[in-house]
Amino acid sequence: MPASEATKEKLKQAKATRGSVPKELLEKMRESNRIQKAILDTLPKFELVGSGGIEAKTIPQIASATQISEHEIFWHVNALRKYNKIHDVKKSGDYFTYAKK
Amino acid sequence: MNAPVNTNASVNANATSNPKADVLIIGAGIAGLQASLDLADQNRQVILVERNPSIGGRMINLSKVYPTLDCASCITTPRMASASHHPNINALTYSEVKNVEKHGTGFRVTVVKKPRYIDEDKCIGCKRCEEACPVFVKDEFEHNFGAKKAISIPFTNAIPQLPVLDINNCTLCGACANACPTDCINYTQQPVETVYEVGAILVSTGYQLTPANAKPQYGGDKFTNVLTALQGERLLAPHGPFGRVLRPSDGKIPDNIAFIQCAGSRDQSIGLPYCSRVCCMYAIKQAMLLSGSLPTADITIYYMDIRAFGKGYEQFYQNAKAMGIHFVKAKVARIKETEDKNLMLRIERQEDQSQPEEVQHDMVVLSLGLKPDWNPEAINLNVHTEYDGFVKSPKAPLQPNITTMEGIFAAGAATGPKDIVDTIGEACAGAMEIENHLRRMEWRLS
Repeated sequence: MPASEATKEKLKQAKATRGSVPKELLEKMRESNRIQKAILDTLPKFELVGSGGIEAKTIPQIASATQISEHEIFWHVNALRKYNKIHDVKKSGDYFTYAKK
Repeated sequence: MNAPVNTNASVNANATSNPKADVLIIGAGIAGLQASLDLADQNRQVILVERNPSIGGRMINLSKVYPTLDCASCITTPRMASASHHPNINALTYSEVKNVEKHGTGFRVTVVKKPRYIDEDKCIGCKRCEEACPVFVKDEFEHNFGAKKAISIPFTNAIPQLPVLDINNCTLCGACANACPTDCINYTQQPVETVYEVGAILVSTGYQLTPANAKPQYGGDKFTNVLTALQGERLLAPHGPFGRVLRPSDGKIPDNIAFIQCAGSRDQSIGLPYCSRVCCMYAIKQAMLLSGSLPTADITIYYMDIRAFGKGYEQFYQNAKAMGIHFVKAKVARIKETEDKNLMLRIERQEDQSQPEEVQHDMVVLSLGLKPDWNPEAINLNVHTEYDGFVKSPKAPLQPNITTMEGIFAAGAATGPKDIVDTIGEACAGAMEIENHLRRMEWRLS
């Protein structure tokens, strides 16, 4: 959504007071977005799970598909779960499986 | 939602910079909430200062309480709601006491209200800012297991329902300001100092856990599956970070969990020689709850000795044994992490054979000790502390709320480790002591 004039003015004031946003912070956000996109790209849609052999995925399966550590994947899966982008589906062995909404 | 300091009708303000009240309570955990309600019900004007964005303290973070296994938030939330709606209580959240000085028969207290970067009068708690924010950060309420947005309401039942913008993680993208229907985002908000005149002060600042790395040999700060006791509480909470009990390294359902007792107390080598009084019982409680959530899991508690001293506590301990929780009298020397993130514990049993042995678990909870969470000496109060840092109670056990400075009282874990039952009892006693003091001093608001 494009910023309104009022928001632009607030941001201008904030940048004048605080200085520009640190590059590391922007980089951290980009990395987080990259991981979340990779997770969502890997997961099947919840409605499709069970049809045509499509299965929801466990944390190790997502980690293996994305080449990102299981710990990091698990944290982001829970972040996406909290903000309603991911469903947990069912138990599969020692793990739960997940699908995107 | 709380009104801002200077316009709150519950504070008898002589001037905007010097509002007057009967009592100022530092810390809005269960002790501060109970004492403020008791005093407010006696028609005393109370200022309740909380450094976090919500009242509720540690207790709102817990899953259940022992020995009844009642829901902790079901006990805390009604008190939080009562305190926030009480006409005689002015709850100042996200605020800290900066200075206290003696003034006549009472005190002058400088309180700094930290910026939330929102206009509290305009905010309606709709969470649209949180939905729009693109930045995910670690959620302190979930002890970093969960995520939140850079602007967020601290937790579901937080009071007040106002978000805080984490300015250090804000990318100034403007998404929150664009989404806000009441135009309440203020990126340049500054802290506000207010000086209050009060007749008495209650210190109810509670406790913090000893650091997870207090004993580096346990790897509390290195190994993902070594948890602190409060992290254990969140895993067991109905609205916890994972929605169920899973181990944090990979989301596996754990089936072999260990608790290590005295992992941060009763140990001269880390400067904490005292017993933290609650660890045995909270570990037993967590073990019982785990056993309920994971009926086939093996749960072991490694202990030096079990201290079940309160009413119904021994029965609680016996019930845990009957449920199949293993109690092993042993010292854990060290923990090593295996390749698959399991944990290898080197233990020495203190009963039967005492050969060192190695046992594997897939998750470990450290029963860390309790330390004071605030040092009254840091803000020029003449309130003495004990060798352990807790507030000194020279008239304990008969008058545990009396401190070394007249007019300043203490309650709850500020004076030493104690459980919720004792904390609430002491808070009620503290309210009575304060009422007696104000009458003796003939304290008047006008």
